[in-house]
Amino acid sequence: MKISSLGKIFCGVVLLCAVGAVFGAERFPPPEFDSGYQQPTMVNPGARSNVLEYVDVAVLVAVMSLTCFLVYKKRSRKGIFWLMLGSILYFGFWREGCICSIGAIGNVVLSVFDTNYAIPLAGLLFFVLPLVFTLFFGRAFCAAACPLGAIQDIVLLKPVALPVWLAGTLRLFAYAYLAIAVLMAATGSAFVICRYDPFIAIFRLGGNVNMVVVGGCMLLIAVFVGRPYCRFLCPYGVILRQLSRVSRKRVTITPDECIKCRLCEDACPFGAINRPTAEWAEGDYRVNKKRLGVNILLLPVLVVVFGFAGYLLSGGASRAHVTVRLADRIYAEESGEVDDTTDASVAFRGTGMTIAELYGNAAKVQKQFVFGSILAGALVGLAAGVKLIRSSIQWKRSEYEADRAGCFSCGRCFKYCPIENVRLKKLSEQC
Amino acid sequence: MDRKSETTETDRVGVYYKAMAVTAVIAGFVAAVLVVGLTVNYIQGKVVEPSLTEQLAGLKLIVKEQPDNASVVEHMRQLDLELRRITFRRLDRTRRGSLGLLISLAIVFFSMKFAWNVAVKLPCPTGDAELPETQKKRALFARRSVTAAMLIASVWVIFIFVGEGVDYSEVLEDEGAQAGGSVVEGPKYPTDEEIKANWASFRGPGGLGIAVGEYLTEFDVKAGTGVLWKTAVPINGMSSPVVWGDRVFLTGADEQQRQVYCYDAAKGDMLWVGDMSNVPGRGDEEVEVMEDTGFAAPTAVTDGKHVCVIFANGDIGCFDYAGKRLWAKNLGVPDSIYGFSASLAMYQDRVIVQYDQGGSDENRSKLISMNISTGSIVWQFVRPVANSWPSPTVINIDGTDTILTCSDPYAIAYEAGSGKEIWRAECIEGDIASTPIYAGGFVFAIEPYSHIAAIRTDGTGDVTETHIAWKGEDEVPDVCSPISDGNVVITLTTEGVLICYSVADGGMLWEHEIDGFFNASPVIAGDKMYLIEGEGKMIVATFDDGYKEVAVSEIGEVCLASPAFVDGRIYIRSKENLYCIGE
Amino acid sequence: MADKDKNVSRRNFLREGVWGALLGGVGIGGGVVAVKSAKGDTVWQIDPDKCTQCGNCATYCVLEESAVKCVHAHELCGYCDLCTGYLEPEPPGLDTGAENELCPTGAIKRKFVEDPYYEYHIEEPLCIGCGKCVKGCGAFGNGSLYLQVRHDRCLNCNECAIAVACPSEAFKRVPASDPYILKGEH
Repeated sequence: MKISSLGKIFCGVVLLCAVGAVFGAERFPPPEFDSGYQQPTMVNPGARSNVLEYVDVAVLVAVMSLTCFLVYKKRSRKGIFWLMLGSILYFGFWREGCICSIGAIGNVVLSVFDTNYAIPLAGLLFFVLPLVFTLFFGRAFCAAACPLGAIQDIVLLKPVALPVWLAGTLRLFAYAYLAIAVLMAATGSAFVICRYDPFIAIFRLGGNVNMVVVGGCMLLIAVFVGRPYCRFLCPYGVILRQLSRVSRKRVTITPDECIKCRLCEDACPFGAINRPTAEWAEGDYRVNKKRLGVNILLLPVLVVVFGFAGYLLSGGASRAHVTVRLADRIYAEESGEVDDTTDASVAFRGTGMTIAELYGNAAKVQKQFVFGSILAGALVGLAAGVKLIRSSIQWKRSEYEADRAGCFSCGRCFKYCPIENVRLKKLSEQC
Repeated sequence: MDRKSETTETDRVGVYYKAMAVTAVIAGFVAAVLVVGLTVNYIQGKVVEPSLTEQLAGLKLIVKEQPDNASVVEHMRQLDLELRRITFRRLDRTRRGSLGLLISLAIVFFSMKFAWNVAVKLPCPTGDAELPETQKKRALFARRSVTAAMLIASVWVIFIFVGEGVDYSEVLEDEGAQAGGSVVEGPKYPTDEEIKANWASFRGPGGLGIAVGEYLTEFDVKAGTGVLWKTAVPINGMSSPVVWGDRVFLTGADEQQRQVYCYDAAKGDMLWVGDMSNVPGRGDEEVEVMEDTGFAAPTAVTDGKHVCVIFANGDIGCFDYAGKRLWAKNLGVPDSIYGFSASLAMYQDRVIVQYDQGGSDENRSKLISMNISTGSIVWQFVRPVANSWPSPTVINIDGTDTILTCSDPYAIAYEAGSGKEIWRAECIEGDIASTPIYAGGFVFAIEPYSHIAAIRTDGTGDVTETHIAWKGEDEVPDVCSPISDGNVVITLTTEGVLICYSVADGGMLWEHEIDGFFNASPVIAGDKMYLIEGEGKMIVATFDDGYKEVAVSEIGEVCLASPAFVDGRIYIRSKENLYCIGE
Repeated sequence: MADKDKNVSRRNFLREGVWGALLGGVGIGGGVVAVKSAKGDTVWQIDPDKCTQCGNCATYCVLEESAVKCVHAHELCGYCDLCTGYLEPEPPGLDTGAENELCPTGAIKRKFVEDPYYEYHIEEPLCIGCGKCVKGCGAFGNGSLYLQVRHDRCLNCNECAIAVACPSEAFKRVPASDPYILKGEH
């Protein structure tokens, strides 16, 4: 068409040489050696053996069983302490924090929503076993088996009691975190819990600097505020709280009958000891009943409002998904908003996928996010509404008891009880 | 408990407490030192090492320029060694430092814990048991704080909501509306009549090289007779002019710039220059083309509202008739041994790009259909062909709008709307450059120096064995595309040999040799054919009864681009000028 | 008194019911997920066909020294003297001088085999997984050098930090029983 023939002949020669050269392994044929040279073979170390994962599961079961034994039979805080140390060493430093029940939420959710994703059986067991234990024995997992809880528990030196209202409100963060984590895992965007695991950098002795700093700060807070991650953030803890409410067995402060001596009143650094309730005046009951009614009616309103908030946030949230992020980038490039390219946009243009296809995929993800964000928002609304209802109920308690939901079975309160000391045949020398 | 033993007890506790406290302080000091060390280490990795790496890269460049300068080489090697040492030392230090930090912190905590345990006294709550008021107050606080938290959350949601992103369902709907909304507003693309009345793409309507109307057979550049106007073209290019109404478009490019020129067809004034710099999506990959191809070999396409252009580096873009760039993107630098040269074709409101590159087994060649006004890709798919230099053409064959393509090893016909393949014939190999034409019921595909194949068009699937009616093997061209009036098909080689075959049976009717060389493809207007000779001649001849020369006019400049014939005017691009021939 | 007992027993009944339902739910849910995921364990790996050698592998791994390293498929290697994975583009010389080497840590060892062939060997402890050699080899050579996650180092994080940073989605989970995506095997 527009090429002179001379040039074409010349280039034809070049072409002959170049044709083979274009694709992969053909450019320079592997030589045949005369000297009897033997090619080295590639040595590829295999993945960690499956068997070891089941060792992890066995250790988990052993630790939780031992916890139950120590809490219910021995009533030994000391035993729990050493068990915590063991968990930190094994699940934390030895296993480097990976495979953990909290993070397994992400895997379980993803395996439910993504048919192509298979959760490792050990991961599933790590998720399910603590739930089963909790239904029987309360939060035995939190007590000592969880390395994240244990490391916070161990560094708690000078507990500062948070007001009940503050702790209760902060706990809503955990519900929001759970909602976000499930949303992100279900859409295949991210394992948020794993990405923002504050202590993993400590267990691994290194990692992302931001996470090292966050972990360090969290531990520093944990010196004064008991288990801040467990109480105010842990999404798995949210699930365990609910199951623990109906557990078969429950931790009791006293081995016998409570004599209401008030010695254990401030014993729990996690605010999980409920005090006996006072008698109210008749008029107060009526006012309270009315308020309770209002708050119950408020619950569906809150669920709807928070669901709507979730809807508003869905667009922004969808940017957590790699496809939407890529589509945003390509959209910006196509519309001339940006002049340069990124590694990702260049790689995308190399795949041969059309932009319309990409936008189509992004639209699909965005739709999932609209649906998921509404549900996530509704969950947070539900948590807040139930919290309001619960604080409008006039509970009736006649003795000091461990809060079913909030108790980590750490065993700290045992030694505060005079009856416990009688049991141990060493009467209190205090007071 | 007697007083004495109590004192010893307190003393013992005091000593124990002190020992623990001292241990904690010492370990705390060690931990602090380690934190400082690790921070320094971290900064070294983030600041010092990158700067050294940069320095090293600079030195490497110097070494490349002065490979014999022993001192520079030595310096560079020293720095390289130093950098590696620093890196591995840092990694080692980080490992040890974090372990040390962990251990020292553990000691701090445990000694503090034990010290605390020794010093701590169990609490003795004082005061009265809780009053109902306290408990009510507590519940009230809890409710209020939850409400406050919800309010804060709402404010936060509204604040975040301001930065809302792109909704891709809407984007797709918008594009769909732009692409398919034509039903309501009437066609957004030119009618067949309009296309036939213009020269919208390479070799005019259907890529056939057939002009409508009467044209001058002779002109004289020196005397100015028959030359309506002549305008200089700023940057050279091999692309041909395209004409729509009163506008003529050309492209030109060199290594640095890529431009589109718009001329007034009546007077030849340049109306605007469109610039194709800063195209999004372009990497820094270098583009290598042969000099004979240049950076602006592909011809533009226009629909009367837009002009769409593509260049050898894969930049494709679109301008409106006011010269405003509507969109531009890069398709990736095409891997083409002579340089990319396929002109754009048009179907309805879409641009068709035959993006052939690499070898036929590499799956890198593509056929792409893009919306002309937005640049969004309507469809694209991979073709099993090698890099090639012909242009795709769009023509109606037996009621189906068809895209014809020729590349090693297939001539392939596609449905223009859907891109669905209709048929393919494995009949051309090597460096294909001639654009296929459709005439007299056949598609003509040319394999350079080998043969011209006439392919019947009523087949589907692989028609290699069944639908190749005949092959002509005399003096086959390597660059120029053939022309046909439906009865005869004429080929022209670069060296100037014309062969005329009968369309029906492939019988050779005549041959003729002209002195000169030809890159521009011939054009038929009425009963005459127009040939543009490379050194700058326009040769007009009749062909139905053998070759009979009608006239020869001198342009006096190198002319490699195929001409455009519209409305009684011939537009010829020379190396430096654009000529308009007419009365 | 009888009323109170009734109340208590009703509450107990409710609690028992909820408890049973939850236990059943956990059991059934866990069982369903378990049946669905009987595919065995997975580990992270790089698809060398998708890898663009952006360099993120060297910097994003949670390990200070990345678990991604370059491997060399000798059976694909051309044993060239002028190796574009080993040497800088347009190197001043063709020897092992630092000015000629592409690898920033000198992890590729060059050994003369026989005229004109050289063997290239990756010293893994030195490799940082930056992919510079992979780029060079893929651009002009046979592509016998490529990046792989080394499973003696990889912690198999639940969410791989490099996978999150990978621009071309080249990271994927592969069966732990076949933990490498080797070139020339598919």
